[in-house]
Amino acid sequence: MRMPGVLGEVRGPLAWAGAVTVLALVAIAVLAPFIAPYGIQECRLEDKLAPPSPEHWFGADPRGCDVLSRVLLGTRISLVVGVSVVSVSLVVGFVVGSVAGYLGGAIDRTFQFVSDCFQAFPGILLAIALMALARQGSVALVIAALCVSGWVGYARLVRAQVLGLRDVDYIVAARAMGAGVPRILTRHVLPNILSPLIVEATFGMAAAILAEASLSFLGLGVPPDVPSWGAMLNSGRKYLLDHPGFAIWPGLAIMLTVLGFNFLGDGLRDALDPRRAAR
Amino acid sequence: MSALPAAAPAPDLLEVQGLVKHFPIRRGLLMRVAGHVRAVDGVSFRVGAGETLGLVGESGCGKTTVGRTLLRLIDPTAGAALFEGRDLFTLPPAQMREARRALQIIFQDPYSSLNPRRTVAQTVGEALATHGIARGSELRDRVEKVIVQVGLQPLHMDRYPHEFSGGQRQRIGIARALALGPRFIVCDEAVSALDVSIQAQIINLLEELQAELGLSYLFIAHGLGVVRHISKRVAVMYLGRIVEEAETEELFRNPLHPYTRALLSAIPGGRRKGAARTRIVLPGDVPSPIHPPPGCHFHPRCAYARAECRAGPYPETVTLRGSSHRAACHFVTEDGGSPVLGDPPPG
Repeated sequence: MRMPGVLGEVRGPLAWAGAVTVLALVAIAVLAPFIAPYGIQECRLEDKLAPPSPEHWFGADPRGCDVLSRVLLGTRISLVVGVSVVSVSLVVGFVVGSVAGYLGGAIDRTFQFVSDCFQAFPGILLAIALMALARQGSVALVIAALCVSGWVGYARLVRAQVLGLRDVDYIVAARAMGAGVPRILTRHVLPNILSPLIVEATFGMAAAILAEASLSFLGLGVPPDVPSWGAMLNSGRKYLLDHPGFAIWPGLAIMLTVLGFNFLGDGLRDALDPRRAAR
Repeated sequence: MSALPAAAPAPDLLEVQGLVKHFPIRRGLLMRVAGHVRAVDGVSFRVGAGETLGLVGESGCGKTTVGRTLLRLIDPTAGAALFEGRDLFTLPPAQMREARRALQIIFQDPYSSLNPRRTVAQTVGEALATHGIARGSELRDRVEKVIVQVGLQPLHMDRYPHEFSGGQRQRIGIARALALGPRFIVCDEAVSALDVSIQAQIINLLEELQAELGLSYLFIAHGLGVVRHISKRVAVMYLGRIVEEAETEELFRNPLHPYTRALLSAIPGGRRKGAARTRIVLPGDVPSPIHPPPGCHFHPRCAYARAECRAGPYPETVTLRGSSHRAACHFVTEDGGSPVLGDPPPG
């Protein structure tokens, strides 16, 4: 199956709902500054805790900032974190996993030990610990903290795939012609394990976005003035009974995003699974 | 490339001496070596320039391992492989990389041997690009030349492997092997997975290329039938050792080792002059190369086996006087025959 055709293979209402949601999120993230009614610093204290109204559709938060604008702008933070964490983790995971799987031996055993250590406790715990060490959170720090444990899953996936591919004849042929390990891994291995990686990356987007929201909710993520859904959820927590909107809207945004990516991931997995081709 | 004297007997291009490959079996928590798979256990042979040596044996006899060690795809445990006088097994990496241009391989399975995500031109041209021999339009020209040489058309260059039949795919595999202008090619069961009619086409192609380019082949196969047509000499392997080797016609006319006789009788429709067409069915399977039988490895399946075959040392290899026919069997004598092994026993 050729890559450009992948989206054409996505079938089923949930998969399509996921694809549409993800595309909508990307559009919102790109267009947020233009479609948000208020700018990021445009907060008026006199509007604080304003209920939903024509001026503030979703109301205003305790600092008088427009909740709708912040939810829309928050899409950018979530997607930037998701894309960055997934790309960095994917690259590191591919390099480490493919080298370990391809070369085997002591390198592979070392990798397995390290990855077992990482997988012994939840990745979010490691991220929390790292963020707690930093005095001031930032988007870049959140991304870095999530990558520290994020690469392991991809590396394991890549290693398993490479083990199955290592002694296939066309890889042996490449060795026989004198191709080096980097060339074999990028030209021969990578294109043939791309499908499971894409599926994994889609789920990884959801996980990274959720993790960023969790960190920010705990106050360990981005600085308070950055419109992160997790941080908004946290600040809305205090007003949950009187002004539930502050928490509900960012919460809904997180839910929609995570569901969208997960549905898309499921759809892609089905579309890319060769065993499904018979249907 | 072929700066060889035209004079008769072809000088040896490749001389393999005492090739051994034992794969360690690791067990337990500490990965202790619990034993060895004796895949190849002391194999020696020569391949002359422009010649074909057929290497025949059942699955698991080590013939594929022999081919792969020669290309250093597997590191040998012991032995030497002199290619144009230089030992391939001790070449430093840079020189080995250089030597790879002269040594290539063709695989059995035309499906798994081609990367499904690369076009024919990419697959065939990769070696040239890797070695920095050609690029851009020159690369394309050279690829086209090779493609045509193996009987495909230039319009096939930008297609993907799944668009081709098994025979065509095998031609692509051959083109890939030819791209670097090799002198020696390991044909690892190169026709075994193909239909009989396609087999003949591919064998003819290999012979044409040999005549045209002066190639030498190590032609690995599991039956003698395929090998007869293309090989100048044939070596028969059993459980990691060569049990018999001779000029092809000599081997078919006068097989000395009981195992060779069994293989010969297994050729479908094979008619040997002066020999009864009795099918020799070997009892049992090939024994485990982890624990090869004592004495002659073949004795548990040999109809002639005696006490000396069952115990004692592995039989010496005997070369017939005035000939290059050699066999490793207690009953074979230098005088050209074996007093015990007459015609194959009935049944």
